[in-house]
Amino acid sequence: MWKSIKNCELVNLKELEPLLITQLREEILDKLHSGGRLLALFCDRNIHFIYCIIALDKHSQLMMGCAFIHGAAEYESLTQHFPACEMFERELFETTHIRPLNHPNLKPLRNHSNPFLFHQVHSKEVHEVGVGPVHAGIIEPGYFRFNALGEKILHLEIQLGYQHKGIEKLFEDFSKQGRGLHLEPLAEAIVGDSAIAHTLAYVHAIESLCKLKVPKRAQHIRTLALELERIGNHLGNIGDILGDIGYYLGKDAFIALKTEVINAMLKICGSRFGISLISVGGVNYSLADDFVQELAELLTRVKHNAKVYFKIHVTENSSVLSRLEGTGIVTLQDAMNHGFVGLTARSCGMDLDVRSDYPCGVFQEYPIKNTLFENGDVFDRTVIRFVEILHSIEWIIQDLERYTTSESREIFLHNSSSTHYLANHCVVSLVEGWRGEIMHCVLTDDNGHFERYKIKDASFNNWNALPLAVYGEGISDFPLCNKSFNLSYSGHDL
Amino acid sequence: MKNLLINTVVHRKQAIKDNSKAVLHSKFIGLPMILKNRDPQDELCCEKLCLNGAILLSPFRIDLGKCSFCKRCSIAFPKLICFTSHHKLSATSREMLIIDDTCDNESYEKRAILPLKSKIFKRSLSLRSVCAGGNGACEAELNACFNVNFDAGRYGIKMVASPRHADGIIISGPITGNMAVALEKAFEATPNPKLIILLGCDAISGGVFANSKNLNRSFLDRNIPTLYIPGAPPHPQTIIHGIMKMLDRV
Repeated sequence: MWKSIKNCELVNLKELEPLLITQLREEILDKLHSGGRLLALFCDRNIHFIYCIIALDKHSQLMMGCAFIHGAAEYESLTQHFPACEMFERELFETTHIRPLNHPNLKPLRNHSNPFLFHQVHSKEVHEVGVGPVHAGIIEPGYFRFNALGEKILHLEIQLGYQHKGIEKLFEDFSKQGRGLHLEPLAEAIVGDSAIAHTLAYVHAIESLCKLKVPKRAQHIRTLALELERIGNHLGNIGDILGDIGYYLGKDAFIALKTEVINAMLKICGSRFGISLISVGGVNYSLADDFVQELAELLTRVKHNAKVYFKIHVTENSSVLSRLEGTGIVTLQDAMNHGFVGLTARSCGMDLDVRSDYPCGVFQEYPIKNTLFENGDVFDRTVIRFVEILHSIEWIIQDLERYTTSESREIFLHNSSSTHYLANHCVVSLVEGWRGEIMHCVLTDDNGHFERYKIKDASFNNWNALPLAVYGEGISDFPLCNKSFNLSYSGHDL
Repeated sequence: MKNLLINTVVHRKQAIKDNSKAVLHSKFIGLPMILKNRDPQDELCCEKLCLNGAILLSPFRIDLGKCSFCKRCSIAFPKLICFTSHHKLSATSREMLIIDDTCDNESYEKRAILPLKSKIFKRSLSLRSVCAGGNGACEAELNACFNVNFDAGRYGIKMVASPRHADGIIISGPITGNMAVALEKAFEATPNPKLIILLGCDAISGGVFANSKNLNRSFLDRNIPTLYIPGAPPHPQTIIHGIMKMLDRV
């Protein structure tokens, strides 16, 4: 029995009738054949059930199904038919030890207790290059193994898991101590540069479970912060892409702009990353009237400068264009097969954006413009960032007007009478972070504690895009391709 | 071309003339102050509220090494704790990070950092960053220290690509089990004499991840850090001030 739900809609777990694993597998295949997208595949804490969530993006619906494990030791893998399931099945195998048969790449995802066996190319001409886990730059750890033929990359294999901190388990443990309502600091620490997006996903889930209705004004501030985070990070990314081709003048111009934006976030909540802004029930800080004015002016200036800089440093700069155009192509077919999300998917023509597909909060009333590009190369991933920056700025400036004219001044729900969340329920909350779709799924047990807290960052889907993009490129273009996705290691490893 | 030149000239100025005199925006969440005349009941509730366990009881103190500066304690108990915008938070010993109600901005700044006795790093310090489970925020702020705005490079502080070129390592993140070996190797590869700088509350104490079973913090049992930089993530000015003060240059 599958339950059809919307973003942030409650499901009573008792109404969810478990199937057998083989049945569940057949039905997942059916749904994927008819255009569904696998969103999550995970087991509960005690490894009794497998839960599956499938997104039907065209209908803005999520389908949830579950199956008994019942001592089952194996099943025919989904990955052999749908490569998009690869990571999900590897993750499920690592936690449950139920073997997906005929899985093409059943390697450990986060567990490093056994040595990782890399693919090898047997040839005298091919040489292997290993990079990591400590990188030359100031970034997170991960290991990359290249098989290169001369300068060309024949194959890249990525081993992650160095960042694994057991965040999902911490959510569950804290909830057992009765602190499930106040885990914002933990949600903020999942991915540092997407602190707002992850915290939003967490608070949306909890507010649904507690049936809290957040004041309108708080919703405006939350969405505004989400878009501000997107603008800041996209600006920084464009700068970093320029930096990775050795064009530091362009880099510095964009990084200086980014600093202005994230410093504006500091003026809202005291942290450049939006830490401490959002809490269950509302937001902790209001925007003063003069600050609203200041923010609008700042964003208008940023918009103008971004346009000028982008013209000078990217679109009219032939040496930059020659490095970006046609480099690191991900095709639409690959993106659909591998289930990429977020701006990686949009840059190759896949229309996927939680803000328009599963709108929540302010986006329901005031939709944001959506952009699609077709080529899927580094250049498109750069331009899509730029276009999204402009759209977000336009949206924020319009929203600031709505914000000042709204009547209610309430930003926090103080009469939290129902601070107990529902027992035996489940909620799936989706948020479009700047990398892409972020999912938090909460299952509660008989006592109302978290039975399971499942997190999926956009990076989890998108890490497979990097090997596809660098295939056949020179090793020297690897940093550029990597930066054009700028995926989170921490969001993958959790 | 003309535009390019104009653009270059516009950016050819030091965004922050002197980092040591920089004052952060009044909203910045900096050094907390414990207020006097507290209600013991509030103290108990406040201690329970903190996810990181940064609040210590009898007497009531705050451990900056555990605090993630989320300000939620101050929002819930405004009569107990207030956060100032003072960003000079770094300290050279773990005990200094624990503050009580007698501590204020000036006294904290005065005693928190004991400059290095040796002068060999004073004019030039090369550091290697090792991220051992950090979530990207501390790394982003460390990167920001060297961008056009904060420009720590002007003081002769730089980040290098290999531990073999470094005078010390900066550790960010709570040190996961999977990174323990790599961290050890990076530290071994650094030539003596060498420094260890812990960046962010995750690195100092494990922060919000302190209770996770996937951490392996034994590296810190065997090695003594030189500098602790609190914050989650610390502001670039906090990082720059901490390092400069340690080098006895402010």
